[in-house]
Amino acid sequence: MKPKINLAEAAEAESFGALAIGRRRFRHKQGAATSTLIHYLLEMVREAGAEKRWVRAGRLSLRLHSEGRKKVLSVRE
Amino acid sequence: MKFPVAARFVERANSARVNGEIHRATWLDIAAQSQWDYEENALDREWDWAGIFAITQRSRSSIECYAAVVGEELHGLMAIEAKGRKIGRSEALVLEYLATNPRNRTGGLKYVGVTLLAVAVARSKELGMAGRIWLESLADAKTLMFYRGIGMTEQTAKSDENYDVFTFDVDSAEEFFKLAQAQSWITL
Repeated sequence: MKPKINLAEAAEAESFGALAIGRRRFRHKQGAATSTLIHYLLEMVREAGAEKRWVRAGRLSLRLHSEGRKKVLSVRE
Repeated sequence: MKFPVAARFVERANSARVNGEIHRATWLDIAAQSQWDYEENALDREWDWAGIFAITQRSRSSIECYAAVVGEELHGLMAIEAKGRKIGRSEALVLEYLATNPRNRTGGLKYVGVTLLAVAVARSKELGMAGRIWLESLADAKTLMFYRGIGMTEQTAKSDENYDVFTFDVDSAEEFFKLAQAQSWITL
């Protein structure tokens, strides 16, 4: 028998939080993890607009410059 | 499907409705996720969302990641495998990971999982899988209640890794999808 849909009940049960776990396991070796982390930081400041202006991130200001293939991230405290 | 998708959530404390959206996740969302404050025993506290998202950024990746947000606050993340999985003669979209912000577990917002699931159904339809979804779930009374509530069917056979398996067939997915739209939880 098909379950009867009850979105209110489903929404209440979301409090478990971890609702689905993938069959694919994402594991990174340390080198890859470091690379990911740095890539992650660069993408994040780029999305925040740091290529055009200084952007605030808590107590820091960040600015991203490109020099050819080189990226320079400046940090002001 | 055009993103962002308008979504509506509900405050657990006072049942007030809150407008938000679901969009393709960005690194800013992943940065926000890194600030989620998990309980010590939360089963997803070790999930590597940065690693999952990094894979979505590869050129031939078929993994897609979506974020549920209100203003600048991240309330949920979902990763799907757009290539699908064969179930009998049909293909189903695989929902890889789905988690809500830990703040939404003791208070905060409801309907984050419901709206993300509705987006997964929409992507399944768009990708030619007619709304079919396949996923593995941690065994818990609440997850069972969640998936039953949205109309997914629990499969008798467990997954290779001994997790519970839930599926959406075409009819149930459509019924859920129409209801989620009719009740304005998402607007597509």
